[in-house]
Amino acid sequence: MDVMMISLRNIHKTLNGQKILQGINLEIAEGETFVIIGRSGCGKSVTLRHMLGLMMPDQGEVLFEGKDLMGLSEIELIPIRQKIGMLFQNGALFDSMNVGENVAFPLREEGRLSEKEIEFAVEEALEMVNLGGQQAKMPAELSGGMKKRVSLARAAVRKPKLLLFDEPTSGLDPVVSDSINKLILNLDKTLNITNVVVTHDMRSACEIGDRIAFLYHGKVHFLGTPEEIKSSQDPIVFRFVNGISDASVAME
Amino acid sequence: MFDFFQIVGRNFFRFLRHCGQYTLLLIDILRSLRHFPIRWNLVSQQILFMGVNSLPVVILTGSCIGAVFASQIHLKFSELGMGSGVGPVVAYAMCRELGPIICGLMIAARVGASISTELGSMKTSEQVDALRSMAVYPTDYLVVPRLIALLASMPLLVSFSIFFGITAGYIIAVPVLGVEPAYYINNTLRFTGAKDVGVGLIKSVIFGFVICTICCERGLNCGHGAQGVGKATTEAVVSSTIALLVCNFFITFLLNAWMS
Ligand SMILES: Nc1ncnc2c1ncn2[C@@H]1O[C@H](COP(=O)(O)OP(=O)(O)O)[C@@H](O)[C@H]1O
Ligand SMILES: [Mg+2]
Repeated sequence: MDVMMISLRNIHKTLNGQKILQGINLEIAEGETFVIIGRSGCGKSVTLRHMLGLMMPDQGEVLFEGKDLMGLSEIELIPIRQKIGMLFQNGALFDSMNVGENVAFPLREEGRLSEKEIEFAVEEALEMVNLGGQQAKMPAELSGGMKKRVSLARAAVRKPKLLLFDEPTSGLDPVVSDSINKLILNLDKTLNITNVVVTHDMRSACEIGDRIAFLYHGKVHFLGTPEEIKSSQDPIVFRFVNGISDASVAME
Repeated sequence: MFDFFQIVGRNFFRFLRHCGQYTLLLIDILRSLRHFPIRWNLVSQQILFMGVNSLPVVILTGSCIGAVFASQIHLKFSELGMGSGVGPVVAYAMCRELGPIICGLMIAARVGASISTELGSMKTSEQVDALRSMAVYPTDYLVVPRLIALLASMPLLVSFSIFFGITAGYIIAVPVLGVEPAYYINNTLRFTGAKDVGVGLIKSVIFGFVICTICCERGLNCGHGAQGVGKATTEAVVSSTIALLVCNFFITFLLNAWMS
């Protein structure tokens, strides 16, 4: 088997005395679009944060291109994080900077391009998310969907190897959601970026995912292609896919 | 009774935790200074906000204290026929105590509160994590520029506070209350000197350090949501003013022992 882009092996994490992750195992290959689904609050964001070393596991290992992140200091993580982009659940745009400065931020930090090239790359990234020419707007003036798209432009502008998306379509109208899904597919095709997408929206998951992992009770309960998950007879998966609540599960 | 011990115990442990987090931040600042070049563009932005924009409040409070102090001292000193003694007393007090303390308290309220609110809301809205995700060391980007800017601004601000305090004292004592100007100035210069201004400036730098580090620590470790930010800001301002007053006591003590 070739080297995986990112692997999580037997990750355990307890937060505030609550066992959130209890042995997550995921192997994500280069170039695939991998979707993580699960009920809200089941630890999807926490899983994603482990992939960037924003959180360290209590037990288990996180391998990025075969290198273990566990035990690396914040400074040692810097070269690894330069290869990864992340879209945060609420955008996490810097509210003291305008749209253009936000998108330019990772490039300026990297310090590889000239100011002219950065301007060009920013315009290109904003056009990709249909927000060309909006550089001067402040984040406070943007709608939720626009914030997410700017944040997507910021995450992708450095053309990272791995892009992590935390709920890129939640809270957006169906048309915008669809355009974001298409964008993610496009990134995968044109730049050969590996995408990991967290969502609880089954339709998006099936549309963009090469493979889907379903998290349940801190473990990967089901892993397969969209077709496999749709035809799964597992009662828990079935209820999630079809959006059926179950009194005994809901009360937990 | 049991409740009482429980509350004292809980607060004691919270205090210990804050001390621990504070120490970690100090270590982190050293680490950041060792690994990354200083971001001078952010430093200059912060000097503009912390230093230059604070000048009006610092000048105003410094003048008020100088004026009030002069008129109070004059009330007693003129009874003794020592009206011109107001000058050195005002100047001495402004340089060594009133200037640095009043300026420090104003900066804790104005700059300290804004540091902890800004960092706190960046923390709760995941902007700090966004920085980390973009391979930026938060201490290097958020804390170090603020610290350097405040260390550089405080001596300037305290100098203004001292200067305007002494000037306001002169205006009250001489034109308003009718003290003889030649004696006033002569006595002021005879009994206060560079050493007194030096004490004020040393204090100002230490106060700047205390305010900035405590408020950064509270902001970066703030709890969740708007409530968390509000609580962090209150704690930051209260802790930094208390720390400032306690520090002031020890600095005064040490400097007096050392300089005498
Ligand atoms: N920094 C944190 N500190 C304490 N608890 C947390 C933290 N982050 C997440 N949690 C808890 O972990 C659980 C899973 O959170 P999360 O991963 O955000 O869920 P989701 O699957 O909806 O993204 C929640 O119960 C949340 O309260
Ligand atoms: Mg989440």
